[in-house]
Amino acid sequence: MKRAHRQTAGRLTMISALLIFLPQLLSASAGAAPADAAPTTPSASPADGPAPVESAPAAEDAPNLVLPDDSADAPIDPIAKIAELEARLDQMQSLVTGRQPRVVVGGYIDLGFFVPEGNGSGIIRDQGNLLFPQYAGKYGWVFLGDILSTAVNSRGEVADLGDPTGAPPRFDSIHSGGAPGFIANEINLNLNSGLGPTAIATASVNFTPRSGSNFSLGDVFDADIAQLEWMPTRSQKTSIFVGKFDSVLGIEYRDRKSNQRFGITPSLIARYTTGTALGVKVRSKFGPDDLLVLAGSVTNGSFTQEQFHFYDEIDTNLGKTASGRASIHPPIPLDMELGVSGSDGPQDRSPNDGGYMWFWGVDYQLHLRRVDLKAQYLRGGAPGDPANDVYGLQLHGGGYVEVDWMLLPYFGLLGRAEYRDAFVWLGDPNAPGGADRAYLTKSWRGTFGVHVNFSDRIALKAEYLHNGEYGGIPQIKNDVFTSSLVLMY
Amino acid sequence: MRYPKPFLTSLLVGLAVAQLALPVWAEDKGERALDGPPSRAEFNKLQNDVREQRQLIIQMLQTEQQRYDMLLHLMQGQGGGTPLVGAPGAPEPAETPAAADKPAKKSPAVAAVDHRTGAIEGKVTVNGGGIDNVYVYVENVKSPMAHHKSIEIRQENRQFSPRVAVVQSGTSVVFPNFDAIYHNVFSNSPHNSFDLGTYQAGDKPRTVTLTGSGVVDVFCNIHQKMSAKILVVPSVLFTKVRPDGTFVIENVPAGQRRLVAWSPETKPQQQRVTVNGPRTEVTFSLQHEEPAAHPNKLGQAYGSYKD
Repeated sequence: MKRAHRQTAGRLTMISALLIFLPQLLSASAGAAPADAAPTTPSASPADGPAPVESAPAAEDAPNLVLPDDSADAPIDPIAKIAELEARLDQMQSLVTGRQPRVVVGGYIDLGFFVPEGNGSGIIRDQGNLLFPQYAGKYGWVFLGDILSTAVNSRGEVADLGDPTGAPPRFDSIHSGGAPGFIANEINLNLNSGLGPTAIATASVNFTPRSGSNFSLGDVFDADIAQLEWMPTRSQKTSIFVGKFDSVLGIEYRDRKSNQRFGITPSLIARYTTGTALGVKVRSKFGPDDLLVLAGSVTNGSFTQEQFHFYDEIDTNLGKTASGRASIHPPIPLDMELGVSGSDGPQDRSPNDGGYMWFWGVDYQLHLRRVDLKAQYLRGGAPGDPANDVYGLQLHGGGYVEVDWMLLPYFGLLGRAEYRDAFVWLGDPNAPGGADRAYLTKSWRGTFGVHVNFSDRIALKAEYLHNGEYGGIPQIKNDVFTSSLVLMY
Repeated sequence: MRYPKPFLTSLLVGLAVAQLALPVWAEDKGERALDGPPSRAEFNKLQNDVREQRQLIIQMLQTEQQRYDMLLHLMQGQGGGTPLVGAPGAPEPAETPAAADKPAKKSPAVAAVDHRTGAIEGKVTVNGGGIDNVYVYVENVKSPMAHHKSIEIRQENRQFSPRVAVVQSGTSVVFPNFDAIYHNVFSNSPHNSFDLGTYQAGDKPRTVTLTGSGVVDVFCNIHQKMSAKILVVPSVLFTKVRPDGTFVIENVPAGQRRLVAWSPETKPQQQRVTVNGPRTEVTFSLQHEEPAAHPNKLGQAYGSYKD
């Protein structure tokens, strides 16, 4: 009897539990299905239809479930639907915009192959002062030609620096000795970050794999740009730069980098105008279509190239170098620009402010549909500082005319004619024993090149540089063939 | 019917587990649906959804207009119902022979119906600027989108040509590049944003169809100075202001109308007018505005350090 009672009680318990669980189970599965079909959004229209009364208890018990949509039979309001979709579109658009990268990374890889003539050097020594006897007794070593004329890449690196006689230790980055070879010209990393609607931070770093020596690596990296650009005006036609920035002199600074240059090699006067310096710069554009552009800077030193004798990144003298450029875009139906620029300041590397290094020049650019014409002329000087082993410079004149012609959308030709007449010395020629050395340059160059665009990210370029000498300097075997494959990312 | 005890126990346990698991599974699926930021594919799909819905709306409006016209025709008992301007699908009202023979004298009912459309005319003045490229259009009258219409805006000499265009919504704009350098045409304007990528002369020109009404600012992501403005109007009810500043827009449906005067060098100005007669006058006074600098397609300043 007791056993029968226990059995009956057990069955009753189970049946009761079934009766309790089963409805809850059924309502849970009914609420889960609408949650998948209709994800909730902030802009969900209240016009989806009133909740049916019979499902209200289920909604209270399962607050995460979406009420079944019984408006399927109700007429669709297309205007409301459009408004809802457009609101979602705006939200998504702001989401996508917000996910834009804060730092834009770009750059390029520049690979090349070059074939120099002779020993790859652009200079010869006037042994015994036979060619220029007037320098005998005044300069210990006299070199003729242009040491930077055998450039093989956009950095201006030469196939070989040549005769090192009497020269202080120097870094001959390629040092090919006249041998042809492949080269990784440069790996550039460029970073841009918008710091707000009116300010941009930009950095550019270059890596150059080169041969080491004495168990040390020869690879080099340099930071050529590290600047903040602030555009305080509404039109953003005025920019203030702080940091290490591009030159104010001339126009060649605009395409000094391999990914921007139509050809490969820099001009013979680029060494004076395409360096980057530390300081402050202001540029402003005035008038309709930027009729007048004025730029000025105050920097530690000059805009000469870093590997050249006249550059100093960190100032060693009290004075600073002031540079400026003014250019006009004449209001004519041609895209033309005419500019004049100059710089003046205590010579770099000299610790005293006694000697000033100066440059001035004019430049011209014309953009036609498929042809670009560029021209530049420059003069300059620096007294040198013999006591501190600082070179002196007389740039009697230098300049170039270049034509870049895109013959076809993907294929272009380059032609450049240029010259440089300069005298560079180290030491005091009037001192007993004379100066240490001198470089006499009376060089001209004809450059012919081709440019092929495989896409907006891959360009292949090739140039032949025919170097010539005049003014009593014998012809030097210093022609160069070079090529460059630029891969931009 | 007797069920064995183990069976009932098992059933009970199973039901208990299911009751616990189902809500969790449903919640998990719901959460998964909300996980993660929207991808570009989802964004594009949503854009397409919006376009399709818009097309549907226009077609429905067109159908409604056709019904309205037929109803009018029946009420008039003769030909002469005027379809909405710019609605090519609207059927031509059929003229009955009786209507054709009747004299031109109109009944009051017909006279009242003739004022369903009117003309808006007026004058625009621009303070501090010229009257070039000033347009006036009716904003709250929509007609079916333009189909198979396109215009060309060339990229040449590092600039767009023409730099100002006015098109009806649905018009395609082709951007051929005639320069030997690359350009990247884009716009971040609301309802008509696009990015055509980078291409140069010789590449196939790229096209965008502008469906949203409003001003579309077009730029090149590489060359900051390149800019163009395209005004997308919702119907054919627009006109270019004459050199003397006057304008006329014909066949404007009667009712409350929003009129907008726009030029690329001024702030747009809007006015509400009631069209209830053959002629409605309105005047605009626009203020010249210096253009502001624009960001690149990533929303960042271009930077001018290479200028």
